[in-house]
Amino acid sequence: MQDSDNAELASRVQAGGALAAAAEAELCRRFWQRARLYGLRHLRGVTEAEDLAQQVMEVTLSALRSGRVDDLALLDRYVLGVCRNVAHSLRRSGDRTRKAVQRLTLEPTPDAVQPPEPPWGAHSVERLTLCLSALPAREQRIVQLSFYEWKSTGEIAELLGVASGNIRVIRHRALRKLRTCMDLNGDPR
Amino acid sequence: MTAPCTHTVTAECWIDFFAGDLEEESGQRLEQLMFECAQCAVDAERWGAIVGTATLAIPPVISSETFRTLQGRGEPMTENVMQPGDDRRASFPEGGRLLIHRLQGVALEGVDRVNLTLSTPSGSPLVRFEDVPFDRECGEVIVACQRHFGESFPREIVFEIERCVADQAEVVAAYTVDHVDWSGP
Repeated sequence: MQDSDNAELASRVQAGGALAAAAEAELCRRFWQRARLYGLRHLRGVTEAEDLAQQVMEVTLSALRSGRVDDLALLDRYVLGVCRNVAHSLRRSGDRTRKAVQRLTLEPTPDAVQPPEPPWGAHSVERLTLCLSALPAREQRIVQLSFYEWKSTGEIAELLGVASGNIRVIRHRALRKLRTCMDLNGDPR
Repeated sequence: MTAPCTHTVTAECWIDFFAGDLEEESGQRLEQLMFECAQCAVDAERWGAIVGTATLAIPPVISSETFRTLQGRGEPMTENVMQPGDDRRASFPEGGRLLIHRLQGVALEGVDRVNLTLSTPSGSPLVRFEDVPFDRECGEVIVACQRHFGESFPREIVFEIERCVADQAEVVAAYTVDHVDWSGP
């Protein structure tokens, strides 16, 4: 399955039968994380991002099963479009629950929608906490303000009395160090 | 077969993407690449994993604002309010990962920065945090002690607050906590 392209997998899902479940699982493996990242960027919270990813996969698989995807060769664009619609619904309703997907999908939750493991294993958060502690104080603070409190670069610059350009440079440096630190005990999958 | 990636999106670009620092058009272009280019997706996933994990990693010393954010998230936590010289046993909440030490009673008006040192009761240094967040008005430093720290630290820890004005640093308060849930490293 891993060697098949998206269109082949999508057509197996459409066809149903014995290979459909494995094809669905492979599509989830490919697109769940991307949808989650889309959600992280737009909804700014891990729980919200994971909700979005879950809903996007449910809607996509549901559409494939019922033959509602016209061009299987453009499945990646289709999934991105679903991400936009689900994010828009979540933002508009202000209700980050499963209400949005109830409007978008007609079928029950497919068993195949299983989120992948975190990239550095089950203790990623603990490891990152330790890696963060090893950063200089200013870098720690900027990472924390950027991604824990989700403040904009302008807000951080004002808070710390540092130019916005410098905040970006410090954040780039800090994240590179964090990635090196996280990778030290093995490359992420 | 996957075609070789020719998009050359830099690490800085992906970091700006997740930090919300890109113009709308550039952000949408990267979103498209994240879905349509397998190699770009791999790069995005790696930087996104750091960002995603950072949103969950609570720093060991937190600001009052972060503390309020944690409370707002409904994170289960035990609060341990302490005054200078206190020596206390404290435990984590049932099933929760956070024990919040609110180190109070310190005059922090007019200081330039605050450092926090952790050591054993016999005086062996454990770790030192420089330029930590603090509440100037309330005279408080907040430590977000996490259950997994018990793998690296002993049960009994002395927290010392150091106030710095210009080049002068002075230890102004010490608090001792016995973390009863930890068995030590």
